[in-house]
Amino acid sequence: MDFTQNLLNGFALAFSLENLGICFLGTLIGTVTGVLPGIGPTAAMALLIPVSFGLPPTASLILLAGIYYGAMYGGSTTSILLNIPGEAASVVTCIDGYQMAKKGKAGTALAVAAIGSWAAGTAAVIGVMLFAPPLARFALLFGPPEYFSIALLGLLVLSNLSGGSFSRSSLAMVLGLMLSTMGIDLMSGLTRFTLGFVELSDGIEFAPVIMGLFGLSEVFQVITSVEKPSEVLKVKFRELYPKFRELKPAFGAMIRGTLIGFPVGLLPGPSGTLSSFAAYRLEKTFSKKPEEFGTGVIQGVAGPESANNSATTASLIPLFALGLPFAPPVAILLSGLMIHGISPGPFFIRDHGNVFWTVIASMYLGNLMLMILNLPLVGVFASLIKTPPRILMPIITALMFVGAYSINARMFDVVILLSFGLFGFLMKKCGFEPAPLIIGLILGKIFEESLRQGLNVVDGNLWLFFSRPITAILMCLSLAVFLWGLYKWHAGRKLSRNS
Amino acid sequence: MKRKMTAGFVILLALTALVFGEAFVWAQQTVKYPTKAVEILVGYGAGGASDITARILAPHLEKILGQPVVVVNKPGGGGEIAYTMLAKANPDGYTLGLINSPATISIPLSRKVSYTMNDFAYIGNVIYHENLIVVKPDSKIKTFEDFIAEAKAKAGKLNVGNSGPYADDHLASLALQHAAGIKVKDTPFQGTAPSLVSLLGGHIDAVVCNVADIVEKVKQEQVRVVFTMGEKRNELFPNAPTMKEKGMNVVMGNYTTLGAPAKTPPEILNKLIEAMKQAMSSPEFIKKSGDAKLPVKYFSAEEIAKIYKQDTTALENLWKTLNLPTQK
Amino acid sequence: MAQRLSVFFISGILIVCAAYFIGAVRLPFGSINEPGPGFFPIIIGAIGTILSAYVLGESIKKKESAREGKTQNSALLIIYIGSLIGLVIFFKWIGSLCGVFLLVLLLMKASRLPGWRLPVIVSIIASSVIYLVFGYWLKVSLPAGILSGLI
Repeated sequence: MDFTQNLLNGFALAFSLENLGICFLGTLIGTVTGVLPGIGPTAAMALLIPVSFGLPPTASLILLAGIYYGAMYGGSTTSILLNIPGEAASVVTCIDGYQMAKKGKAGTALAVAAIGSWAAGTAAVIGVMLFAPPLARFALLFGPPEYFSIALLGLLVLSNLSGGSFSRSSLAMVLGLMLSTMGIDLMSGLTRFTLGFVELSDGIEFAPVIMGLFGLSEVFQVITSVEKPSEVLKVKFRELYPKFRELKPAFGAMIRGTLIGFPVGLLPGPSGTLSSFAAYRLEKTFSKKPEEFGTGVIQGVAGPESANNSATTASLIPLFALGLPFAPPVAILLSGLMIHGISPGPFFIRDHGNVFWTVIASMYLGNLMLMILNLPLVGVFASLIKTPPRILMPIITALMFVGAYSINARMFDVVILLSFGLFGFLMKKCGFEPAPLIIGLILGKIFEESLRQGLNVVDGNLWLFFSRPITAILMCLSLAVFLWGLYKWHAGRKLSRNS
Repeated sequence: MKRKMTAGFVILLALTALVFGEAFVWAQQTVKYPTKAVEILVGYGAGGASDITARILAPHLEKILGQPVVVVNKPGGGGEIAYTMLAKANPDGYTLGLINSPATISIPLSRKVSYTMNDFAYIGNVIYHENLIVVKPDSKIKTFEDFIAEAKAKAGKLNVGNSGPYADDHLASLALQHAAGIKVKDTPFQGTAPSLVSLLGGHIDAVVCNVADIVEKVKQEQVRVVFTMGEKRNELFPNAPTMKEKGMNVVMGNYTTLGAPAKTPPEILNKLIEAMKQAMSSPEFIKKSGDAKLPVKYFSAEEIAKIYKQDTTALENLWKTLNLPTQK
Repeated sequence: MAQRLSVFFISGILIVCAAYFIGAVRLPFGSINEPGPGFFPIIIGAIGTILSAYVLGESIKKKESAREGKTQNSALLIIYIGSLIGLVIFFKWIGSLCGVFLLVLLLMKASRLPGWRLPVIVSIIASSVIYLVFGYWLKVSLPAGILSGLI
């Protein structure tokens, strides 16, 4: 495989006017769907499949892929400016991003999100290019028992993400776990906790829950507080752009985010979301001043934003090398390819090399385009938040309403949005953090299903379950994290008793 | 204050007039079909086999009917949401949907639903493919007899992945076990793709699925077909025998049919039947569906109605014989 | 005030957890070797109930000062919720274009935005853009409602 030759060929083809235009269109649509709450890349890709019919296979893959990774750029915009996540993967960016905006550093936050996304996306593409087949084989080593131990580790590590009372965070997480059990049970086919709603038979949709819990609750928070809108500091337009020395501390976070996002992307499930949570936790752990997280720390934006781009790109590896989709948007990419008679899999790179290399080349270009698109607009976006809330809040509310409706073209999801909006508002007023609930909701399904699936596969033989090498390592890690948490809790109690 | 009230009242009056006016105009329309867009409800997510089928068929129907034909995904409950919506839709020919056997038939057998098979009228069948068993290429199971032997040797611990509880492939596995007198461990996954991931990772021993799920994977030497449950051997897998050849009358497969609500007027239904016949015999459709490796197989409305009736009886028997659960 | 709200809220959560637990007990538990659909729900239902009782106890004991010292503007919140519920009920009937227009207009006026020209203009722009982006560009099937036949 003559690497450079193939890559150069790819670039040559990617630079064609048609392919460049398609790349731009795809990434633009992706960014827009990322910004818009509710509708996500999956829906946009599905809607554009008919359009991709008429395009040659390479172009259609460039288009669809552009939407996919482009969405990871847009989601952070509303997170930072309004504390309302545009995508599930941008929830964590709200935590510190919004605080930065309140301090007048919206431009810096947006810039670091764009740059981090570019760096991570580009690095991840290099990973895909060089290591797709062996990484795919590594991904296959993970079976149900391994997924279970990762989910367990995730629940333990992410349980106390943004601080606050430990008991309340745990309760929120347990509520999330309960929500995750709603629907048709995978192993038995029984419907659980659907309260008679056929709309719940596949479980509760994540997007309206997230929009409600983080977005609508924030709207409610804003309208009920009687603060003057001039709280948003009067910042000059030029000053909205970041200075280099402000961005420097974020570089480490970007690297760490990229590194942690990449392997998470190789696993099935909502890897973009999970990687952003993991990266946030990682930054908090590595930081010299962890207590500052939540007040507007730039690493809290850079890490997660890099991670979700890295994970999204990495999730293309199982698709290209094995022909197996690990997440819904990737499944759409797969069908987009299949419709053109191209089957990804072990022979993909061999038989359709020029498709593969052209797409890889266009992904470099796409990431670059997105950064060039987003950076100059940073100042424009940052000044948008100066719009008075009396105008902005109604518009955002209507946007979320339609966004929630548009997921499945039904009102049920809007009802979910409203319910969780109110619930999230009350949660925050009573000292609960909403993030653990989301973690419970997302990880709960993976946790329970892989536990029972895993036990099914080993026929209840617990030893067989836990003696698998990867599972064993992860379980030991989980145990270590658990004991460490216990130790800290015990030490904390001792300290408060002595003082 | 008074002015505001009058203004409000006038607006209310105007809106009322608008609503009633619209209703009047609508009632005056004579039955000409189609005069606006036609929807095809698909009970599975975008990107799946049903979805691709609908999306490849739709443009050809559109050309013949002269109105936009739009695919609408309504996933949920293994297709239940879409089937329910189709059953309850206005029988005016503007809402169609994809119905499947055995899925549409088996769901009411396994739990309480709001539709019955009598709520549908059939237009024509698009897809048929049989269920089959695949293993990894390096698996020691090479023949049908190997499979039976392994199942017996592992005494109920041979892991066979499927795409969900009481999905078509799970039912195929149950029928297979019953006929061959063996017991395997059915491991459900959220769809066929995750089951194949587990198979390739060596975590499970075999997967039961459909032709379309693995035809490309066989070509790329990722899996091997051990045997199929079709009427006769599939030319794509010439070395895989059918269960019928081995003396067991197990024929299990998946039909995807275009249907409409039962009370759709016959003139409209006939128009749709004609349109579908034309669409499926057009060379572009044949080419596009061939490119996408869809196992296209046309059956007329009467033929498929008969097949569904037979399948219903067969599935009801299966439920009784195997004592499968019903959550009512 | 904030403490009373907390007590109410957490009591509500406690009731939900207990109801969940009762629902979970009805499901087959299975065994350690082969956990049934009730296995996980029973465990987390139990944990949830106990945990919410604990947190409830915490919140009753703690004397919480008013949160962040902000005063409530609950009237506006009720208007928001009311109009959203209203739109949920009437969305299909009134259509997305009119519905969003009315919603945005109503909410802006309820927030005491002065005048009519600015709110109406903003509402028209917002509803049109949302309709174009979601209904046309992204092809979501939005109901046309009373404007069906015109668009």
